[in-house]
Amino acid sequence: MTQTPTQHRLPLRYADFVTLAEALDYAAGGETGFNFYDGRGGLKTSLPYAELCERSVATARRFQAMGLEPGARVALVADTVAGFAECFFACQYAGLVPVPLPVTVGLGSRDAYVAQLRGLLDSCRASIALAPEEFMPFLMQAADQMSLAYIGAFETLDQLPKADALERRDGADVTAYLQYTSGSTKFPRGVVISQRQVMQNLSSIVTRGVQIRSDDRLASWLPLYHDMGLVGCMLAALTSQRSVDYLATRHFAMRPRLWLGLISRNRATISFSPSFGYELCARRIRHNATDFDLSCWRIAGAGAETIRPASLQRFAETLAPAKFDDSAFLACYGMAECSLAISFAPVGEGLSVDTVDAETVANDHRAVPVTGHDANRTTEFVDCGDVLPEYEFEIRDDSGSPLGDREIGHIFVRGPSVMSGYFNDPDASKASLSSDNWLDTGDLGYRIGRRVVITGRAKDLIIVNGRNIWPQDLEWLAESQDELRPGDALAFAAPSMTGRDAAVLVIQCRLRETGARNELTRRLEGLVRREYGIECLVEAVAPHTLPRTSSGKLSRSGARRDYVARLQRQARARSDSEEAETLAASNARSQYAG
Amino acid sequence: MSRRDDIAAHLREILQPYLPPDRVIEPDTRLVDDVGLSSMQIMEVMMELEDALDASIPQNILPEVETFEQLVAAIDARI
Repeated sequence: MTQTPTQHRLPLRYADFVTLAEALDYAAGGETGFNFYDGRGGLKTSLPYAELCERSVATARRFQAMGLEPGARVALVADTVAGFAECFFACQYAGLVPVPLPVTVGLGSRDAYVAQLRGLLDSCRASIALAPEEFMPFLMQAADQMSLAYIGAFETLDQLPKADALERRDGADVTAYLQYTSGSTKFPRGVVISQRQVMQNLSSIVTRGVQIRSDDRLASWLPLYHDMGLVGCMLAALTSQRSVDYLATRHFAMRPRLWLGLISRNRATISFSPSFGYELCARRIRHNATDFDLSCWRIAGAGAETIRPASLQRFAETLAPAKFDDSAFLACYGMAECSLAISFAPVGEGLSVDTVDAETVANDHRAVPVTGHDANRTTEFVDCGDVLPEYEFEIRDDSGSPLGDREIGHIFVRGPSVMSGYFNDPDASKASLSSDNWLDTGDLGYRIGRRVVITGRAKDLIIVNGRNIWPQDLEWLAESQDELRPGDALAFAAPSMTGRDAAVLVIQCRLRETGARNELTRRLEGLVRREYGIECLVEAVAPHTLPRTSSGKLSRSGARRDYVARLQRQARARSDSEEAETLAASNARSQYAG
Repeated sequence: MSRRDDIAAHLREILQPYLPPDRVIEPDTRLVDDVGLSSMQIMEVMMELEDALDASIPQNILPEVETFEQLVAAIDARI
């Protein structure tokens, strides 16, 4: 087997199609396609777009033989395999709505994973649920007692009867897919994106964002249930007829070298990752960087979580012997609610870091540039580049008035690729999307002309290692412990002294005895680790001490502020440079403000 | 030494650096709750184990596994 070529004779079209199905029809005329690699870096499946098209149409006919309503949801466990791509595009032809579901392989995570799948199947009201064979036990258990029209494995779909002919149901206003913005078990939110919306965004991504060329080839380990993996890589590559080399996320996490090996060997030119992916490489690649030749890598995209310049810098230094050029770094900003992309930094210029006065940021909400080198008084933010021209955007203060350049506030955007709303959730839709279609991104930042700089999140999403964790889930976990009641827990992300965000869970607890309190916080840390695979600092405070907003609601941002203040007080008290993580950990265990 | 003992010996050695100071590995030691492995550390352990055993370990065994002994048994059954 050989991988699909990088170049072919089919003239490059820049995602100028009405629908994704049309884009695949066109790509099928060339020789490029998807290539799936195994956990040792060997080519497992090569799927040229011509074959993907043929197989997707066949699967679409099988779906249509089931007699479903147009727009019915097809839930797909989005493992990085050919079967997922086939089913996703079968939906595009058949007028059904694919819903990518997460893949989890955490230790002891079975129950949490099954509950998560169940929540998502229920939320999207799936008619069909499909998974790779090896994930079927989880899917079957999750769908237990649900009335689905069909549940089965990608591998056995070809045994199903086909409709006589395909009745194509694609069109600009047809829903292209439902994208769940988090793996939240209790509060899933599915972003509804139409063909028009996603095609608009894809054409901007390929023409402006990465300025795609006929000699481009993509490599990716990003999960396909994540917007950057699905839209930014899979759909962007297909709608511009480029080849992609895929590595499953778990194989990357285990052996980060495989990613760089793929890029080097296949001469990939474009590959994106959250900061933590670059960090993982820098940490795990301690020798033999010269095994790779990364001189081909012209766009090393960074997005999906706060971009940490130091992590990227370390990656660039580690991989300099492999001819990695740090001008390939390209910061971008986006979210599933906008199909994907909102802004891109210019191609080929590397990271642009805005160094501003830390005091003015904290006290005055303004980002005033400084040239000094006093790291204690400055803060660095990454410039995420120009907002794409089709968007209007505003930075607003708390009362909703637009702010000027370098004033920090809430980022709002309006444009043709913004979602229609959250599936079946009018309250959540109304909270994010105004009646005149302005989207509250939930992020905080400032503008410099049309450039946007992200400073943090107003929404309370916790992002650790590129994973989205919703505070509600951690709070719910805490409140389901016998010792605690609803309203006793607040979760949020707080920067640890290493600069990375860490999850923090503050509980107000009536237990007076230290041993019992410690047992509870340790138990919670273990539960979070098991269910979400992340470290979480659990801190117990006295009853009635969790902060509330003026309207009496529990305030996560207040709890975060209190927590950071406590940490700073402790740090000052100790004054010496104790290792930051140790401090935070011991603090979380021992402090009891009662 | 049986293959199972071999797997257990390798895993025990690989887990050493991750252990909290006051902890030793018992068959029923829970890898997440007791050892405190994060999801990224689990991946590092699996990589080292694959290298030590020169075998590839299917990762979909992990969700079913909680203890040291269960992991050894699951690997023994699947490689």
